[in-house]
Amino acid sequence: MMGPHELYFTASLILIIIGIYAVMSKRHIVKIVIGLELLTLGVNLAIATTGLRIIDGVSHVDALAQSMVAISMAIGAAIAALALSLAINIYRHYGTFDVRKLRRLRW
Amino acid sequence: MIDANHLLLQSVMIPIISAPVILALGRRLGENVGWVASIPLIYVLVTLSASAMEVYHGKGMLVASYRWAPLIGGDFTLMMDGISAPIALTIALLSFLVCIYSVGYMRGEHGLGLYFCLYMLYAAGMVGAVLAADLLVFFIFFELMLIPSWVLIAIWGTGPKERIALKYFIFTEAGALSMLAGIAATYSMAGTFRMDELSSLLAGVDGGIIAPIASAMLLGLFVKMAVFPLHTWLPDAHAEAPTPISALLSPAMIGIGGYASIRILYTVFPGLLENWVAMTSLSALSLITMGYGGFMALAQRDLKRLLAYSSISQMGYMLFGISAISHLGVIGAVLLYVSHGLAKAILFMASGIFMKLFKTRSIEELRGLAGKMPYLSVSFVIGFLSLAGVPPLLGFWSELLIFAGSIYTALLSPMDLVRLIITLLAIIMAILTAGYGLWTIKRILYGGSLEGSSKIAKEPMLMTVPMIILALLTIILGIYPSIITSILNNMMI
Amino acid sequence: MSLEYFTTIAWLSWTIPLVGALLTPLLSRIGPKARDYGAVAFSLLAMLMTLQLIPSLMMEVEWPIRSRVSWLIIPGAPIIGEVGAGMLLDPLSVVMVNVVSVVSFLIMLYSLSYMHGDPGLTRYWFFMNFFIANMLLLVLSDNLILMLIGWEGVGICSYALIGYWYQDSREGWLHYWVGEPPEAYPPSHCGMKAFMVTRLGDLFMMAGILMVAVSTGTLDFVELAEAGKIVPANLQPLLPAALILILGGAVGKSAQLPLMEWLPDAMAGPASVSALIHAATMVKAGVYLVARLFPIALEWSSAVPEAMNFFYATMWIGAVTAFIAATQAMASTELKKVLAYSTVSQIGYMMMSLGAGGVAMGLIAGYVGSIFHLMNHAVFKAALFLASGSVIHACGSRFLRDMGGLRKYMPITFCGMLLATLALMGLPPFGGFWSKDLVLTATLSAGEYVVFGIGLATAILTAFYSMRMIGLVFFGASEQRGSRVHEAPRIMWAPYTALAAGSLIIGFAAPFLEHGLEEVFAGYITIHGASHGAGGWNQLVPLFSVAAVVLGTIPAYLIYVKRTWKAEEIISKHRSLEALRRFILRRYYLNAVYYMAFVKPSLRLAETVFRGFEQGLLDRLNYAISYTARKTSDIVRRIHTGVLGHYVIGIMIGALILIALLLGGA
Repeated sequence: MMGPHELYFTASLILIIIGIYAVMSKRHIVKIVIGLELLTLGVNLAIATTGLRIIDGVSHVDALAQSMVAISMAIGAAIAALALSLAINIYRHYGTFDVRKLRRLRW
Repeated sequence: MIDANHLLLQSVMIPIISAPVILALGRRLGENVGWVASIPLIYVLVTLSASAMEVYHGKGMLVASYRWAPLIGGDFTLMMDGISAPIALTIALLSFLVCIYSVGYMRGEHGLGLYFCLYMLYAAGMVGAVLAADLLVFFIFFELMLIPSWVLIAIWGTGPKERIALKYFIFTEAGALSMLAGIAATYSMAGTFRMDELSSLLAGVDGGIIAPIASAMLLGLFVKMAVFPLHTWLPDAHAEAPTPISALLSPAMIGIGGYASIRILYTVFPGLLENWVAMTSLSALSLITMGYGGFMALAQRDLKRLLAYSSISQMGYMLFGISAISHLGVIGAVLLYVSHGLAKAILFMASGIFMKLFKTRSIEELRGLAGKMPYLSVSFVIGFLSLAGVPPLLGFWSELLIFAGSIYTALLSPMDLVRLIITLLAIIMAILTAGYGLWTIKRILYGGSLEGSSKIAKEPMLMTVPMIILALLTIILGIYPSIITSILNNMMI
Repeated sequence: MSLEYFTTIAWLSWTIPLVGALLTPLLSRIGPKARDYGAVAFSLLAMLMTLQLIPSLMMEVEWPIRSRVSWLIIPGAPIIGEVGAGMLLDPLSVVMVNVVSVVSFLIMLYSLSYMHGDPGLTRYWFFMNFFIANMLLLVLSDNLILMLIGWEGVGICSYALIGYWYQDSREGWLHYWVGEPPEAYPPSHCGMKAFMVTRLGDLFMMAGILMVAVSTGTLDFVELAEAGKIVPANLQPLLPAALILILGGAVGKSAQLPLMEWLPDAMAGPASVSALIHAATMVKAGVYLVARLFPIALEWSSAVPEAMNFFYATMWIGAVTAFIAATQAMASTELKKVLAYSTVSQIGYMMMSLGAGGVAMGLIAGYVGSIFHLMNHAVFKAALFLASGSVIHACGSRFLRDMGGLRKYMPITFCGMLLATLALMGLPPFGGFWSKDLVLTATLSAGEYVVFGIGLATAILTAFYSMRMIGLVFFGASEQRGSRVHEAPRIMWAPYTALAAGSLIIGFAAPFLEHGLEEVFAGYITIHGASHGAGGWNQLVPLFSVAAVVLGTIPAYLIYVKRTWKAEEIISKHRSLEALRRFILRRYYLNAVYYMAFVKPSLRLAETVFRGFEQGLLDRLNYAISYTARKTSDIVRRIHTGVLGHYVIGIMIGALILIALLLGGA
């Protein structure tokens, strides 16, 4: 059975992989934003997990890690808001949510 | 000797500082900004002459050192010795006279403030490259020469000017990068850029490492000198550049490649001089360049292109003198720089006048002009005769000394038969210069007159006076070349 | 008369015409008369200067007399580190200088009338005076480099004066074009050709001079003889080669084979120019050079026996050229060309004589014969050319077929030309007879019987073409020519009659002159085993030569003067003669071969290499490089698809690689 650290890290890795998969392969821009959020979630979980210490069977927590996660979550929220507003803007300009249609930066 | 009056620094910095001033004045003064531009150039001529006098009297080099970038290599050092003095003076003189010529030639063109601003930077770059005492400073000025000339060709040139300017830039820049690689390698081995210190610092280094480094540096310089087969940029660039710039590109700038070759071979890596294979193959290469340039000149219908190929041939002579390993050869190469500079400037200026008056560069369309333009014709003939090496013009002495140097090296014991044969072939090859020179003179100046030429009242004196001055100098120096050669005992070799 | 006096005179004699040349443009501002008379005055001054050198020949001086200033200084350089400029006075240079200056002055006088009214006279006087200065410099200089400068200087003047009427106008066809189609050339072309051919010779000469200078360590004529003997052994083979190379320059300048083709075409210049440059003086520079090298080569041959090849080469080149040029004079259709070929032929005699003298290990007769013949030839050939100028002007055409019967209209010219021609033919008591005899004697004493035979045969031909010329010009049917044909003005016929008379006077004085010259030269040239002409042959040679002259004259007299036989009839009877004449008229196809072998292929080669290699290959190579660069970047930039997902994939792959490297490294 995995210890608490391994458990949490595995969970965060799964979240990260799912998030990356979503960013890589989804066409709908909102789905990509969701993927980004998942990515952020996974990373936050990993950071929080690094603050977990078990000393003599008692679980202690490093306050620094948790405060970082708190800030990160706030930033994540801001990113989500901005990303969604960009998505709405894109819909207004291109009339579609399909990311493959946004090709003006190509060669 | 230390340069107490900062003469050398002035001669480099004054044009650079005045460049933006002239750009600003260009809007106000229009065409006459050229006259303003000639003032710093006269000043440069004066300071360089003063420096040359100090070198001659002091019997040593003139060095000026300024704290600059202690981290990478110390001081910004300028130096004038017996070799760089005639070359620098030639550049300064040509810059000044061609500036005067530009005033007349560029009448009616647009953007003259920018033109003269770039011209000043170009002149500064050339002077600085010759006065540089360490490789880094040399490289900086080398690039400073390149960029204004590129812009000048791209804006005021003829034909497919942007493309040709780009070709010129890329070629020369590639060469400069090769040189930079060599310079960097040298620095990493010796810890300094100073040319005079490098030879002792590198004395112990194995020849197998020196050879590729020196080759890289020489490769870059040979691109600039337009040695066969790296010459392909030159005919286009010199033919399509605006004529005053051609009159600087061809006489002054490509010779700087030769000057730097002298420095590399004789000052920085003197060990290479012992390498018979290297030196003899350089001689052979210069023989090929001489012949190739001469033959190609015979085939040209366009006057400026013919002069460009002639320059390639003359650079072959210079390289021949450099590869002769002897004192005489180097002196001959320096003299050739001066004589070719004076003569080619005359010829390009003449071609510019033909272009302005008759709107053509084609030799077939020009005929019978000797009667109409006496001063121009006489200068034109003097220019070609000097190139061909006819006394009592300066070109005679340069050719004589170059060949004397090579024969001297060939006849040291043991006798070097290969070199002797190469030298004899080179002497015979000199007939080509007389050939295309006289033939061009005959086609352009002699024969029945051109239909349109009767409308020309007289020659444009503003553009002809510089030619006359250069022709007179060629004659005077030809009669008494000691003026240049006596300074050549103070060399860094 | 101290020695400094003579050297000062020497310096003045060539600087005065130089100053005159430079002043010519200024004088022309004052007025045409000032310019013309001023120019002639300078040449008069030069002549007066050189005449004052003659007493030195009669005094007991220690030859050579020298004066030297330091000129070019290249510190630290070997050998050419210090080139001096100096005057070298010895019997050879004194004689030569006087020949040059006297003839030059008379020709300048002649030019006053001959060139009168021509628009380009400032240029003419400038180059004439410049020429005199350079020629005197050439003769007086004491080292090879200074001589080379004078040498090239006269070359420039020759180029400028041959192409004097550079406008090449078709109206001048009868006057100053040269040749008949397909080898007709305008003046500007002829000037260029002269310069190119002599320049080729000069380049060989320069190579030879440099080899000599470096091997022996000196350029000075006086030091060369001794210096050559102590040349290190490995360099000794170079000395004969260097001598032959220098001979190349002489061959070019003196229009000997194989570089002779420029001189016939140099007739495009004015008659005075032809007289001065291409008969009396410049073409003799090659002979002068060989004479200068004569003692030097002899000294060297004691250490390096192959140096004698120099003399063999000179002798044979001279002999063959003399013969071939004489044949060409026989067939030529233009008056000045006859004289030009004759000049080439006579110079061949001079070369032959010098060569034979050397082969005979320093036979004085060879040396003196050559110099004496040089003197005589200058006098009578200049007379002939000047007279021909009058004739051509009078008839309005350069072709012999447009002349004839001028005896009645131009009696003075006829006299002068006849006297000079008799001198050319070598008839006693003219000077030409004595000098030609010395030449033939020299070849015989040297044991070169073949050369002697060639020389004799050439004498026959010389007599033939000379009489032919006189006959075609002055005899024959004299149609009414009108008032155009009249005697020349006095200032024109005075110089050439003076010269013609001069050759007669020299002829009378010849035995004394010969003896005096031999003494002076023999005293000066200390040559091993010099002899004064072996006694036995001395009687036979004049007989042979007079017989030759008679043999050549009689047919010519009958065909051209008496007109009893007709040249055309004889030729049409024998097909071989017709073919021979065509061959000779086409200059043995030498000229055509030179154009075909050198000129056209050079141009064609240049053209082909230019189109094929330069434009075809190298330019394509450049564009290939830029094309490749562009195409490569085209391929690589397809990575920028614009699709977000692809970029993220890229990031992921990069990150994975980095992690792998970090983990692998650790």
